[in-house]
Amino acid sequence: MRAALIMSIQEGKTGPRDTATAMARLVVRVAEARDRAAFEELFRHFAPRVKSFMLHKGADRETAEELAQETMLRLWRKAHLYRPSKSAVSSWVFTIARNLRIDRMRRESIRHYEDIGDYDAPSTDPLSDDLVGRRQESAALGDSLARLPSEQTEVMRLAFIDDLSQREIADRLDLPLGTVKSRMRLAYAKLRVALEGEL
Amino acid sequence: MSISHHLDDATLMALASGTLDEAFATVALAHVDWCGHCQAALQKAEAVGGVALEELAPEPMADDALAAVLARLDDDGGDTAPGGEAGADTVVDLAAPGPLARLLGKPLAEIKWKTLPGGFATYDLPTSKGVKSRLQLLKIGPGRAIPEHGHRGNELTLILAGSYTDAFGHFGRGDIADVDATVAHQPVINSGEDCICLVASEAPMKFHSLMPRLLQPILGI
Repeated sequence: MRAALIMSIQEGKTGPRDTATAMARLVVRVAEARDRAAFEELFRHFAPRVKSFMLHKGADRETAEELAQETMLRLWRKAHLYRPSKSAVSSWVFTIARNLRIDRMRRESIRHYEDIGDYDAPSTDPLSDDLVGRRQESAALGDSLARLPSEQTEVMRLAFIDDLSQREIADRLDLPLGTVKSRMRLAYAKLRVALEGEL
Repeated sequence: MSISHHLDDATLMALASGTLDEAFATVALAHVDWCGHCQAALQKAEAVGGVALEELAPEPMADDALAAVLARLDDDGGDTAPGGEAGADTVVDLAAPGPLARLLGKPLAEIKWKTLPGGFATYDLPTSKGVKSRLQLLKIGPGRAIPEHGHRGNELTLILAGSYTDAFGHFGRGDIADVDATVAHQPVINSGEDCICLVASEAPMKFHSLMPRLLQPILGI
């Protein structure tokens, strides 16, 4: 069964909201107490997903494994920069994985992309306070994505998972580039509303 | 800095997904570096990546992966990313946003411009092998006009200094012009100082009169 972007959000005792909250708590424990058990839980959840992400984007198995490990190491080192009130852990991990992969492909050894949180001045407030204001980002988005027309989720899937540029998507779907762009804009506009509703 | 022209939402989504061409990503991220509005907007688009990550079927890691990573947790790392945080942020130049400053490796004021006829100067910036679009700095003197032109492809322009006006309005420091192939415009520099722009272009500009066409091989724009 395929929904939201690719498949149905996992049904089960713990819904996506509970999972997202649990993940945010784990990162806070890593940041505040260098808690290795918390890190292990994050590793078990995210490393296999990051590896899958890398494989989808065309990395060979060895590189996918290595980049997944590097992503988790960076999560450990940068946990103090993660703000639960600003983004879901999954979004933050996505930016780390995306950036590591882009760095790997570039000839110039210059980083352009920033991980979520890198733009912000470090906060002195305790992270655990920040948890209270945590946004149910991924859950709200998941709900919203599931309601989008399939032609809009399709272009997002092709970009975010299959790594196609908008021009490549246009070629793949045999559509004018302008149509692909307007589907992206429509999808983004609805997601923005969904995310702002969570504030 | 008061920024009034921002990234197109479609460009934002391409940027967030990591699929925007390198030259364009450089210009877009240079804008984002200066623009709080687009930092927040980009973060919303990046949330789509978070959902995608949660929905991917997990791929089992190697048996020793967790042990290998745990063993490295206490390394101070010296950050593992090529050209990562260590050192990369040492270039601070208020005239240039972070991504450009890092690419230049020196202050914007110290680059050697290639001077061209008509009050233009250019400076080519490197991109990775296989990147087809072009990344360059463009400097145009006060009162000059870029001849009316259309585009054979997309073009993304960040104003670093000075300002210009065209049919889409006034563009000053920090503003971005996100222009696609359907658009023709004729920017006129209206600042008392040089207008300096960072430009990514997919294809050469398409000039509407003979004179600039003859200039094009020289200008390289």
